[in-house]
Amino acid sequence: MTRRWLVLAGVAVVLLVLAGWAVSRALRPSEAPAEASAANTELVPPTAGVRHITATLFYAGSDGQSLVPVRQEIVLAEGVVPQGREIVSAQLLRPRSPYVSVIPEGTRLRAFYVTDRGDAFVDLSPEVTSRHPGGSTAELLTVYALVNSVTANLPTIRRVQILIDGQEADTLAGHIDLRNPLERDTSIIKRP
Amino acid sequence: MPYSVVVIDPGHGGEDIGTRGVAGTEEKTITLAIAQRVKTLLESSLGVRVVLTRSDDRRVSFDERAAIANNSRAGLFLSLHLNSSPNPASAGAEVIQLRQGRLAGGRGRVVDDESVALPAPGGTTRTVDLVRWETAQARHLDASAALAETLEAQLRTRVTMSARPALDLPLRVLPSVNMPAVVLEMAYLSNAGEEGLVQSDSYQDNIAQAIHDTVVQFSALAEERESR
Repeated sequence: MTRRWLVLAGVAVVLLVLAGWAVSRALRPSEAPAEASAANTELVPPTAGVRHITATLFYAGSDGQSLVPVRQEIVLAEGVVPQGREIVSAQLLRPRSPYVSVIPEGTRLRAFYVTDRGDAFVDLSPEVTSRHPGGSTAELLTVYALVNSVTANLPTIRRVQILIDGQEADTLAGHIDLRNPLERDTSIIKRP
Repeated sequence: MPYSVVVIDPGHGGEDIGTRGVAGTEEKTITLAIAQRVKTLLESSLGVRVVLTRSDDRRVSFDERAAIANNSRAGLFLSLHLNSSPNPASAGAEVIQLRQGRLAGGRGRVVDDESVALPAPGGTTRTVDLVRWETAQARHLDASAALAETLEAQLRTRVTMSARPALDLPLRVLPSVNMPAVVLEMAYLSNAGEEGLVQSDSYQDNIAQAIHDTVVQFSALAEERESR
């Protein structure tokens, strides 16, 4: 009798432990949205009923040496910083065909800040450099797709500084100087 | 030759391979090979001393590259690179320089350099120019533009030029170089045809000869300016 009770008690303890593990797992905080949205997912317009804006994003021109502006609906956010996050997050995603992204796959937005002077800081995950193909042209397109997408859609932002993994960086791939905030450059934009 | 020293800067090196071609060619290897070819040609035919910012496969920081150039008191600085584009058909050489608005983050005019008088032996003083490290290139922008123009003209007769052969970009390697300086993107490694081409003796010789003739022509221009 005692033995049967001991077995039943043991089973009950195991079940309780399993139930506790399942509950704690279900209640664990989810990862931040920016972390979850890797750049290999495709940019899709906001679902019906979600308030949105039409933003200009930048992708590789057909000559491989320029950027083309593309109008894209993205989620409306309240305030410059939340809207900046939405814009950069959309720029990091894979565009709809036939457009080609100039952002290395897997690049994520870690943070987006704005200073009183109108400088935005775009903090990206290390993939932006570790997966970059290199070459000054490809690097130029990556840098100015980001700088131009922020400055073209947020009129209060004049300059953009790119950070990598929370740190100031010399360059993404050995060419374009990232030590100072960069102004919008329209010289590499071509109309599609 | 008014210039007795020339600096050639082979891009990338060590764990920084630069860009990689579809067949696996690494930028750092080709930039070093061509730099060594340029050194041999210039030293044997012009008698100038060519300083390489790296002569083997190692990483050299941007500031180290500028320091090597500045300490050599060279007449010009030429950084060699290979390019990459999202379009595999992109092709051709490009010459890149800085402009005033690209220096110091584009914050308008760069503050002028200063001169200070320092005590010297015999109770005298000597004037020393203080050149700001971050904007040393500012005083050479016109000369760098002339160097870029000369190099582009010399390349044009020997190799395919890009659809946009002369560019002004905020390149990290240039601001602290205290002499006329440009970056040469010799070809696109992302273009399979050019990846094969840059490994050939004939292409590397063409690039070396274009740089040789640029040094000769640019030196003559400098001599002319000094004699005025």
